[in-house]
Amino acid sequence: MIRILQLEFLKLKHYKAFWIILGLFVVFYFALGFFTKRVIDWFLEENMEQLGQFANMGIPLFDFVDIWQNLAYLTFVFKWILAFVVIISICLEFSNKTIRQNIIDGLSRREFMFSKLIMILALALLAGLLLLLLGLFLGLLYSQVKSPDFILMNMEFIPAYILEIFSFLCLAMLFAFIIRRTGFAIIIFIFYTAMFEPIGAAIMQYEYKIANWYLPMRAINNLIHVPFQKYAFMEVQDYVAWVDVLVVFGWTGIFLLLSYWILKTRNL
Amino acid sequence: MILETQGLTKRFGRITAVDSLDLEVRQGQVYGLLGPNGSGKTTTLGMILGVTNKTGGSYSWFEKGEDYRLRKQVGAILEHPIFYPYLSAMQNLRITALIKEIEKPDYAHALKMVGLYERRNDRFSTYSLGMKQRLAIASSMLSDPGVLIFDEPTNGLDPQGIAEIRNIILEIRGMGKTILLASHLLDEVQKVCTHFAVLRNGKRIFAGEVDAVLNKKNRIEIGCADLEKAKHILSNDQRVLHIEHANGYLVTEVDPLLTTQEINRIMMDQGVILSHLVFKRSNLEEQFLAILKESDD
Repeated sequence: MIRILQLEFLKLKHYKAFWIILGLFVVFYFALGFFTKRVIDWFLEENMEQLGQFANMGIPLFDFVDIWQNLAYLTFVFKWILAFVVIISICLEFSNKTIRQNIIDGLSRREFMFSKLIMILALALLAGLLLLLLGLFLGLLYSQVKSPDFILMNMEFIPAYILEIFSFLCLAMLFAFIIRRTGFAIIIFIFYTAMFEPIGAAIMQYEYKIANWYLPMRAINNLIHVPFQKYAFMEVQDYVAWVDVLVVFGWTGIFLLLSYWILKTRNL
Repeated sequence: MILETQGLTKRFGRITAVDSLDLEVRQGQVYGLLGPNGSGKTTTLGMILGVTNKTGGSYSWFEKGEDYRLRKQVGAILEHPIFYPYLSAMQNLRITALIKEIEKPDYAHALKMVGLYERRNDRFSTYSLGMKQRLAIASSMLSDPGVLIFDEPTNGLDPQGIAEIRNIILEIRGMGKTILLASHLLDEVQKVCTHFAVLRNGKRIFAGEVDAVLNKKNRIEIGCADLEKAKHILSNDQRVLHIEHANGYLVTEVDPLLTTQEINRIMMDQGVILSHLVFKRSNLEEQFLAILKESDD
């Protein structure tokens, strides 16, 4: 276990592109948090007349209790950056053929996949940590209420967020194992996760009235529901539903089994 | 027994790349796997090293089976040297040591052996092909394995690079290690190996000792005034296997027991004075072509 962790770290430690992309991720992450507040304040000021009462109240985007779900939803865009990191680091092993030499040297295919899984877990935990830090920071800065009870309330969105990222990155790993070429894998991954499935799901839902909560991207995105309609007094799911968690666990299991099966049956 | 394969088979669709291959490599042998390009050498090595999934048959390392952990006691390079291009030689060797679970890796010794110690902190991508190949040998030697596998180790190298690699392999042979060497170069196998097998279209068409094959038949060229009489004398000797005329000489294939002195003496006794008597050590290339020809028939 520690050996596999060390192995992955040795591979990534001096790989500049990895750290640059990861650095960009952290910078964007915090930047989004800060700019969102600015942009909303500016928007409210500009539209004082039309929005009247809202503007006076301000939108309590970063108030505790709400902040965890709001931030977790807002920063969901960044999971693609992490997915690129995963795809690049796996496809590089195929294009350099280093996976081949790893296996020849006496690593098992399962250990190889496990080493990538450890990286994915580390990235998901990093994202969770950033969410925690950003939430605490923005919350303590802007929230009306700052008592520990309120801070801790709704914090289950952080583990849910970690699960969301973890599952999404496992899907990215599956694409990398199937396609093996960095450019192709990234393009097809974006195409599937951001276009093909969302559009397909929309058609299913609005044209044919077929439920589609079980599709992989829908399931992953469903973990944390869009919170913002509540500021227009609409009902939203402001908790993490167990059934959503189970569906995502199911998909994650499928991604991992498929990844392993592909790695096992293909020639390297 | 270091390595044994039984009926090892690999099919890619309709093509059979390796066809029920039986091999036996024993402790201390330098085993040449000889065959033209596309004869299934690399596919065979890929299967016994776990990167190519076999279609049928079995292999066994150290009489213990196919477990991936057994590969940690094998040093192997398949085709090109493969390393992380953005890492230095040292960093790459650390990865090898970690995978092979080497307790106290002696990086300096391995790097000095192949003459790369001075360049150990340079990135792999800055190396020449010869240096890359040498680093691959250093990496395969790092765990001090009992058996090494080299696949076309001199492919694409300049004459100096070829000489360097051959010397390193001979040095490794001198350490008493078992070596499995795949090559399409007969000359290479002849110079380095003790045993060899010939592959063609995925089938083993020959296996044996290099020395036995080399010494099975010697060729002796004979010239004299009366070739027919000499031919008559020789054809009565059981140690002479074959006689033919070529370029005004008699070209004979003889048992290694029949030496040139012996022939000279026999001829003298019969009153034939030889003007030309040349011993030609048979080389593997001719044997190889003969083996290929036999398999065609």
